[in-house]
Amino acid sequence: MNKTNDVAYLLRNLNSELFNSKRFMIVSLLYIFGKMKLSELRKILGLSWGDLDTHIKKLVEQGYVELWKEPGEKKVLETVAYLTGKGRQEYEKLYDVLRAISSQIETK
Amino acid sequence: MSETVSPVEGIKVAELAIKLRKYLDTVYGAHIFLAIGTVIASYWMIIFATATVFSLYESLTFWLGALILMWVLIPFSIRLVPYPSPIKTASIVKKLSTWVLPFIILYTASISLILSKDPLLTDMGKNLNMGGAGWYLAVTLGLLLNHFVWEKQAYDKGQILAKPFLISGVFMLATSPAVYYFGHQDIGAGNILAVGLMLLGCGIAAFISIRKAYRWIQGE
Repeated sequence: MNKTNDVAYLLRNLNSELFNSKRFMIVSLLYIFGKMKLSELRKILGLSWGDLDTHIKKLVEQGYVELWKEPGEKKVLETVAYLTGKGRQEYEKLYDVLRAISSQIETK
Repeated sequence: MSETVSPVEGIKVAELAIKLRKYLDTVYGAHIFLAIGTVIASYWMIIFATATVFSLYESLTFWLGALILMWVLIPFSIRLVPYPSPIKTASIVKKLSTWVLPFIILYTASISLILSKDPLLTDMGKNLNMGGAGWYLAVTLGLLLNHFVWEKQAYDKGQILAKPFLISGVFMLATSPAVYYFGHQDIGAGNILAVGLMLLGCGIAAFISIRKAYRWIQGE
């Protein structure tokens, strides 16, 4: 397999769900902090509620994220997103593929 | 924000995320050690003081009650440092058994031997109980079991940067002859030494973990 084919192969293996920039940033933040309030995620990433909802739903469908209700300020229940074990593994796999692509391009 | 991540930016972000995660997990582990060490050490100091004042050293019920109450304190002390970690450590059953099993085995063996009519077996039981500081050996075994059940795998996978369970377990195992000796000279002295050494072991493990995490984040 030549280098161009290698890169093409690696690109085909990229997790398209996580490769979306907004979902990638959501999962990156959850990877660092383990869990985050949806309101916090929205504020940090500058997303609208609708946008955040769409992306979170996709991550939940894939089993990368779980949603819970937790008491927040003034004991009002707030929705919190957790990164699952599967989400963590997929994120690390995506990082490995990205690194492999980068090193293939550099050696070309 | 464009729809897909640029590979170069993606690598930078993911690299930072992975680095921070390892740092936070290691520092968290160190804090857990300090929290558990402090809570358990202060608990046993109170128990020994109570046993001394009310002459309860010979009461089996008192010591069994004290042991059972300790199981309530361990999850409580872990909750003192709340932190969500996506690291899969071990199932609740495995976690609980790694802490409870050494105590059950050690105390069942030593008490059965002490209660036997054979003076040789009674002596063996007393030796196993380390002159009343047998809990020190049980905690040591619990720490080492935790290392082999989940810590080793997490470390080998690169999820954590230090092995506090192994460090404190080995430290406590190496110092157990001193506890044994003190315990046979004086039951109070043996237990005070055991508490001191347990705190020291937890402290050493925590400080090594924090140092390793600091050096990791500094890129050393």
